[in-house]
Amino acid sequence: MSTILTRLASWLWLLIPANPILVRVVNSMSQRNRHLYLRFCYLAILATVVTVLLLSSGSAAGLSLSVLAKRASQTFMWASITQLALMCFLSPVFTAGAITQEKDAQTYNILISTPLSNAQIVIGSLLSRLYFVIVLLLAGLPVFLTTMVYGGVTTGQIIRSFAIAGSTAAITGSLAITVSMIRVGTRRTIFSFFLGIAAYLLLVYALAQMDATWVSEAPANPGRTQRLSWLAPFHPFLALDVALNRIKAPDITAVASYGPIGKYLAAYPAGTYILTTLSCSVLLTMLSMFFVRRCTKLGEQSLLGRLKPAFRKRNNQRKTRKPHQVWANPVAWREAVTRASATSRGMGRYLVIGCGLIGALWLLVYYLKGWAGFNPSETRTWLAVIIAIEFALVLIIATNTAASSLTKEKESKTMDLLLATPLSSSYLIWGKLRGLVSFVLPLIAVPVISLLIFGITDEIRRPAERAVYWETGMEIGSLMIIFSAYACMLGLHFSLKQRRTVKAVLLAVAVLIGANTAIFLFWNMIVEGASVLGPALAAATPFTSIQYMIDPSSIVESQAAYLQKIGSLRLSAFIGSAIFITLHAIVVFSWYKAMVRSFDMIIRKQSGL
Amino acid sequence: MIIETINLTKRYDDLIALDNLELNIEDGECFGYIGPNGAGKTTTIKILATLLQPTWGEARVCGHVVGYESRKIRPLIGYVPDFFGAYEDMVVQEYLEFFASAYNITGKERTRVVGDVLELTDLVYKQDALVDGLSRGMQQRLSVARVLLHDPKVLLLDEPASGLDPRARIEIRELLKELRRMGKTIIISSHILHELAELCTTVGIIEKGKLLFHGPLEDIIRRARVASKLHVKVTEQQDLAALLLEKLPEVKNVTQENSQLTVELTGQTHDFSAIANALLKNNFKIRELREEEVNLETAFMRLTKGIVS
Repeated sequence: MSTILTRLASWLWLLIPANPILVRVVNSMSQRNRHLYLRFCYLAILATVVTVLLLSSGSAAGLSLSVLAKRASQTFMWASITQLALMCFLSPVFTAGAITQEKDAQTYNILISTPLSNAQIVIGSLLSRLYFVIVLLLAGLPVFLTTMVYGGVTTGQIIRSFAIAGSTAAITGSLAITVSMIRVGTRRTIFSFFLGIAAYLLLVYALAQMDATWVSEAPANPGRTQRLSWLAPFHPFLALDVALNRIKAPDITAVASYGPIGKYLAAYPAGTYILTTLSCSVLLTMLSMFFVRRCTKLGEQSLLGRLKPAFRKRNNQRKTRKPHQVWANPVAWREAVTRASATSRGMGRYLVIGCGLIGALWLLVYYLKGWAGFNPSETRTWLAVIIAIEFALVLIIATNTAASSLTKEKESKTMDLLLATPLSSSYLIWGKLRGLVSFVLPLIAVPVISLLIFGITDEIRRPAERAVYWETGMEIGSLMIIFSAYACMLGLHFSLKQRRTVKAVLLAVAVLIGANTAIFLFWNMIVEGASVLGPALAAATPFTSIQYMIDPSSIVESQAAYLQKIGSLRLSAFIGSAIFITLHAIVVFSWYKAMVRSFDMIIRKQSGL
Repeated sequence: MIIETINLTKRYDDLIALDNLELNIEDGECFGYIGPNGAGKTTTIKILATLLQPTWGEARVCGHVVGYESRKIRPLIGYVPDFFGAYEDMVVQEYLEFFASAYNITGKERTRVVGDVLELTDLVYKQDALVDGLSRGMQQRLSVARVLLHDPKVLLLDEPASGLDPRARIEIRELLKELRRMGKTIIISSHILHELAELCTTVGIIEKGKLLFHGPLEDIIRRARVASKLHVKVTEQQDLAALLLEKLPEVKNVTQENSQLTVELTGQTHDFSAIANALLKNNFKIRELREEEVNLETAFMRLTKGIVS
């Protein structure tokens, strides 16, 4: 018996505390300044949210304990949401590196030729990635504890909030590890991983707003029309809403008819979310252990290849194709044509274009037929939402492609070949920018065409109230081009400064999302109170322009006022878009000139033996 | 002088990659650049290709100073690095047209030039092939094709034969011989010394950033021959023959290896009649008597080991 226990203890010791992979990663990465800054930023954001919310509610003097408790509860709620949002962003950032790390370092084959067990390799990789996320979570604990001082926040709530954030990190980490074990990850895999997570979070959250997904027995929530969705046990934010009592779950007796699993999903969505994600993490980890020495790595057949040999064979044999016509500016041609024609990227583009056009046509049919209460106002709202999603995708694709543009040249060492040609840095960057904007133009065409379809349809029908006017498509289209150029410049900026594609893409996309969110929240407040000037001011930022230029009715007092002021609102939108297109073009051009000036210095600094 | 470097120095922090390099290469020369790994060959070529700036000193290509007149230099050079820079999802013809555009060759002229280069490098049948799917040999041939597009005066080739199989190496060598016949100035760094000996007219040996030797191939071989060495084989009584030769004033040292005597002479001479006469006089039957061959490899080893200076 003692021998078994000793062996078990030794196995556990080697599995976690003495796991060489874990020890190496924790030791080497803990010393990196980058992680220190990240921890600092994470804590700073949390502390700012808590401090601002506590202070903004005024002096605590003379207030009753129940009011103070309510304030603390509100603060805790927003801190928890912020924490989860940060976790949803940071977990993929920390864990996605696992997808390409072995390929980058070319250490995978060496690793699997050592006597390390499958469990050691998988658990070591997983925990080494999760370590930083767990450290972040724990570092934030004192900030949360401060909300307990006023009462209103229980230890149980804090535990539940942390458990949801922790289990989200665990599922993200195990998913990344599984991907890394099943196939040799590339930069594209990482991007797909991020996009997949973002799409899942957005899509499930959007579906949960539809009453078809609601649990009919769920009680109503004060101040909100939304009720508990069946999707809550599968989405971190929906589960957190329940944990924070923003959304009420029904009593278990009320949902007993749904069977043994259904009733727990409906009655305890937060608990089942934690349980489901942790169980999935364990399953994925076990799956990784199975695949770690069995499945595909460099030069071996992939899992998909084994399952679909005919498909794979045809794909592998694609070693020739008819040449395209090269443009006079070869750099622009390279960005716009050959990168876009790469199979998966091309398919992705067609998918976005196809889905966008189908969505617009679906909306048009609903609008024309007046189904589901689709009046012009409702149509505008939906159109703005769809176009905002499409443009968010355009911006992410543009930033991602631009961020990988120069780093890919550095990694594949084609940068040296280009630098040895007579192409100047201005020509090179201009070519990249022109090519990247050309690359996203077909994507921008989708929202523009959607708006034009509605505009022209209403122009022909001439109803009393129109959904959108035809010129909105042109204004939004022109603004989208300039905002895409911004996104491309942002991507190029990081692509120039960084040596590695993954880092450049992560930083660029993070800045894009962060900056757009902050700008939208700030500018939205200004535009909301600007009345007729609203559409003009809205043109300053990407998402306010989509929201208020497509649907300006939300900035005027009433529907009647909207119909009365529609002429002024249209003129305001036209003038605003003309002014801001010019201003943004000047900024983009200045950014381009600054980049040209620093290009040679940065590239030569990075160059070397 | 088509290439000229004056006190060319390149530092990477504490590492001195090039140390006051003085290099002069004439028009039409084929210059073989030899040195151990990390000696500074790639740094020199990168500087000449305008990819790096010297820390100190000056490098001139066709009379233009690197760093100040790089834009004038770039159309005059063709640079083949020690790796193949492959673009994803680009076919051979597009790859060449892409770089032809980069050299401002447009329209019908571009089509003609690309066609000519494909023919010269025997890549016509590969024009629709994706470049990242080509074999190493084909990729290297495509690299050479790329630098011929704009008909440069100077070709800078960094390890063009590395990683190639024997057939691909021979093909590249023949292609380079053809370019030499066309009058191109070629600077080629390589570790395959016997191939350089076949190809190059002049050679430079670099070690730790310093140029140890620079000159015609014959000169380096002459210099590496410190003292004449003879290999002598006699039919019988090899020990006695060794004792006899050791007593001769022309002989410095005699060593026996298997069935052969290695005779080191005191001075440099090509007259070995005294040795032959002494053996014949004492009734030794000579089976073989030949001077030790000094080739580029021997010269390189001797120079880099400091055996000769």
